[in-house]
Amino acid sequence: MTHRTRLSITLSTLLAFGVGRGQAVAQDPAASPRSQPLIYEVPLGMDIEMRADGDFKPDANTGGQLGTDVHPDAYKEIIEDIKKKKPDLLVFTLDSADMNRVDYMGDDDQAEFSNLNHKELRRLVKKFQEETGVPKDSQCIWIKDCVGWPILLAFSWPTFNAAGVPSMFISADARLRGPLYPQVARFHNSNDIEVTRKWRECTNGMSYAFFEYGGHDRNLGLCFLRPDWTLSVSFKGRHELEWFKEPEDGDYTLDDNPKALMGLTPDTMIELGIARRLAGETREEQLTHLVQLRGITDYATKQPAGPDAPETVVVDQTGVELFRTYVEDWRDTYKECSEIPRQLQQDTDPDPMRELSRRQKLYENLLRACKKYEAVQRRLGQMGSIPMILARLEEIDEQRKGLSRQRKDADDGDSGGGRNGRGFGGGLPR
Amino acid sequence: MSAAVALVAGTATSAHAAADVVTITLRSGKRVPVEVGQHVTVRYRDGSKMVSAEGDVVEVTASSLQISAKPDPITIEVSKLLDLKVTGSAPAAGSTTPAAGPDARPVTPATAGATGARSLGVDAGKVPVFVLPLEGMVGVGLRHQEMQKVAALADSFGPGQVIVMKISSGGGMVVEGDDISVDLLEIKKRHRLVAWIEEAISGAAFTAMCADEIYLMGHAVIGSITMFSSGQGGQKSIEGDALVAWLGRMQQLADTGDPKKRPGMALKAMVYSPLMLSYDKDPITGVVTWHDTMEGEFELSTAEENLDFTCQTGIHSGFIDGRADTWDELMVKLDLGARGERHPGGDEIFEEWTALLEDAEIKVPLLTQRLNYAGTGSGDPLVIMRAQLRVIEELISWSKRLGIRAAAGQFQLDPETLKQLKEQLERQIKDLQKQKSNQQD
Repeated sequence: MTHRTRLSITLSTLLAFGVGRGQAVAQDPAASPRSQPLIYEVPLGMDIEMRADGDFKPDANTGGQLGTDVHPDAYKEIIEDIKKKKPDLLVFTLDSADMNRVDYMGDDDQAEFSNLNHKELRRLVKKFQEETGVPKDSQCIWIKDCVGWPILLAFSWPTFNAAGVPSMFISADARLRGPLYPQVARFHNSNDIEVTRKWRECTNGMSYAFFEYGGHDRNLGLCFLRPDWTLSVSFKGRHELEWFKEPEDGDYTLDDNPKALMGLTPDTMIELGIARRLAGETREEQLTHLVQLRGITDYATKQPAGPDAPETVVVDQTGVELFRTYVEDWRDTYKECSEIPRQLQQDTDPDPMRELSRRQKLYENLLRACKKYEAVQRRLGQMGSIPMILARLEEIDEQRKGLSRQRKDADDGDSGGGRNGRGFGGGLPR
Repeated sequence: MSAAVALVAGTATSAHAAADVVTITLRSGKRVPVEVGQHVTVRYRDGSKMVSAEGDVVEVTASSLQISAKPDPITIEVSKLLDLKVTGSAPAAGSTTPAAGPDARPVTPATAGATGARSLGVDAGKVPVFVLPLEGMVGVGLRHQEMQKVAALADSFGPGQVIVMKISSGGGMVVEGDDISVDLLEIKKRHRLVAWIEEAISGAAFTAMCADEIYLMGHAVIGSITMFSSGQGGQKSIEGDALVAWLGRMQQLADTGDPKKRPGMALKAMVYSPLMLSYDKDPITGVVTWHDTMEGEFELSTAEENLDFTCQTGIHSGFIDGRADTWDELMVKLDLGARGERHPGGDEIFEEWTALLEDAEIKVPLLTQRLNYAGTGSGDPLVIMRAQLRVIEELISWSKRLGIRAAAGQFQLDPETLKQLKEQLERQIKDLQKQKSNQQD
C-alpha cells in the first residue's frame, strides 16, 4: 500500500465514522439507535481518477474490471463493515465498462476487458444479497456505466423491491450493453458443432441466470448474449412486462436484427419502466435523486455545520474508500510485479552469490504479491503461478548450494588438493 | 476457496445482554454465540487434516477463537472452523445467559454416548439433514467415494434420512458418472435424496438427475450432457452406437424417477442437439405435456440447441421441484422448516477431500518442477538421482492418495509412468554405485 492510499483511507474512515459531523451515523447502532437512516454505497467498479504519472489511459476500464477490480478480495472488508453498521439502504453503484467512449477506434487495452468467472461472480452477488445482513428489499443498484460482462451485475437486482419501491436506477448518460460476441464465443469455441452447442447453451444459461436471479426475464438476458435472439415487449398492467423472443409478437420491438447483439439506452430502460432515471449531472445530484426515489427526503450530501443544525441522512463512503484503496493497491502491486521479468534479465550483480540473493528477493516479492492479490496472479498468468514461483525459489537454493560447494572446492584446491585428495590442485579460478 | 465461516459482531440484543458475546456464523448458516469462559467443542481444518478439540474459550475475536488445551492453548482461525458447539456455560460474572439471544440453540447432543461425527450431530428435536457439497470436476472434486461416505453416515441414523447433494460442477469424467449413478440409485432406495444446485453441467447434471428432488438456486443451471472426448484432433462428440447407448442411459435414468416430471425426451435433448423439446401447460390445471418437436407453446430446445434449464424454465415446466437460494428456503421446500438441521458430517467429508486437493494443487506441480533441479547443488550425479527418486516416490504417494481419476484427470499423474521412472532411476543408481565401487576397488 502506498503512503498516499493509506492516508486517504484514514481520512475517509474518520469522515465516515462521523468525525467532524453528526454523530448519529457514526455510532454503533446497538449502542445508540440511529435517528436517521444510514445509507451505504458499495462501488461495483469505479472510474479511478487519472494518476499523475499518466500510467492509466483516460476512459479505460482502470477501476472497474470484472475479475480483478470487481473481485471478492475487494469486498471482504466492505462486507464486514456493512455487517457492523447495519445500514438501512445499500446502494450498489455499477461503473464498469470494457470499452472507452469511442470503442470503434479499437484502442482499448484488452487486458482491461472483463475476466468473467461465473461461479465467482454469482457467489459475490449472493454474498451481497444474502450475507450482508441487509435485506434484499433494502438494496438497490445504480447503473452509471456498463459495457461487457458487467451486464450480469446490472440485472442482478430487481426493478422494484417487494414493496414496489424502485430498486434499479440509471444515469442519463449511462451505456448498457453486454459483451462483444467474441467475448461470449470464447466460452464455447470447439471444432465439433455438438460440443459448441453444449458449451454455448450452458454458458448462456449461466449468464442469463443472473437476469433471472434479479427477477428479470430470460429473453432480455438472452438478447444481450445471443445475436440471433430478437426481442419485443408488451405492457401487462402498470408495472408488469411480457417479453417475446419474436420481434413482432410484442407491442414494442426492441431488437429485430438476428445478426447483432442488443444494447439498451437509458431512455428505453426508463420508458419500459425497468429502471428509473436519475436527474442531475453531478454524482451528488443523482445520488440525491436516488435517495428521494427510495422515499428518504431529508437527505443531504453533507451534514450541515453548527451545533443546532438538523441531523440529516448522509451516505457512508467507507465502502467507496475501501474499494479505491484496494484497486490502487493491487494495481500498484501489479505494476511492480510486471517489472520483475525485466529486472531478472537486467541489472545483474557480477557476484554470483549476490546475484542469487537478488533473484531470490524478486521471486519472494512476486510470491507475496500473488498470495495477497488474486487479481495480480490473474494478470500475470503463468508467471503468477504459485507452484512455479516456489520452484524458482527452490532452484535458487540449489544453485546457492552448488556455488558454495564450488567455492569450497576451490578453497580446498588452494590449500592443496581436492576434497578426495585426488584433485590436481589450484582449484577453480575465482 | 472462500472462507468457510463468517464472523459477525453480536446482534443488538446479545450485545446489550453481554458485551463480550460474539456470534459466529458457520457455513451451514448456524450461528453460535460465544463468550470467554464457555466450554466448547470444535472441529477445524489444520492444513489437510480435520481436528476435533474441546476446552474453555480463552479469547474470541473477530478473526480467531482461542481455547484452553493441554499442553498449550489452541488458537483457531475462524475461517478454519467447521463446527462449534457450546457445551458448558461461562462462569457467572454479571452475565447470566451466555447463549441468550435470538439465535441461541440448545446444545444437547442428539445421542448420549455417541462418538465421532455423531457426537457433533444434531440437536434434540431436530431432523438431521446430511449435506454433501460437491464441487469441481466430476471424478476429481465430485466423486462417488464421498457419496458412499455420507450414505454410511446417514445409514448410522437409520433409513429414511435426508441427504442433500449441493452441486457446483461443470462436469467431468463419464466413467465416474457410471459409478455415481450406481451408488446413488442404491442410496435413494434407503434415503430421501435431494439435489440442490448452483451449477450442474454435463456429468454433474447426470448426477443431479439421479436424485428424487431437484432444487435450483436462483443463479443455477442444469443440463448439457453431451458426451465428447478430447485429443490431438480436438474435441469429438460421440456418435453412432456410443450415442445410441448414451441416449439409452438417459431413458433408463428418467425411468428411475417420475417420467411426467422429467421425461426421457428432456434428458435426451440435453445430450444431442437435433433432439428437440417443447411443452404445453394447461393454464388451469398446470398439467404439462411434453413434445419432442417444437409444436408446444413453450420452446425449450430447437434442433440447433442443447438443452439446459434455469429456474424460470425449470419451475414453469415442472422439470425441477423449486427454487431455494438459502438453507432456510431449502428447508421450507423440503417441508422441514426450522426442524431441519444441517449435520456437520457431510461438510467434514467434503472439507477433508477438498483440503487434500488444494494441497495437491500446490505440491504436485512443485514436485514435477523439482525433478529438474533436485540435488543439483551437490554436483554429484548419485545425490541428484537419489533426490529425483525421492521426488518420484512423493509423486507416487500423491497419485495413491488422490486416486487414479483425480491424479490423471487434474494432475496428469500416470501411476504406470511414475512406476517406470522409479524403476529406471533405481537401476541407474545401482549402476552408478557399482561403477563407483569398481573405481574404488
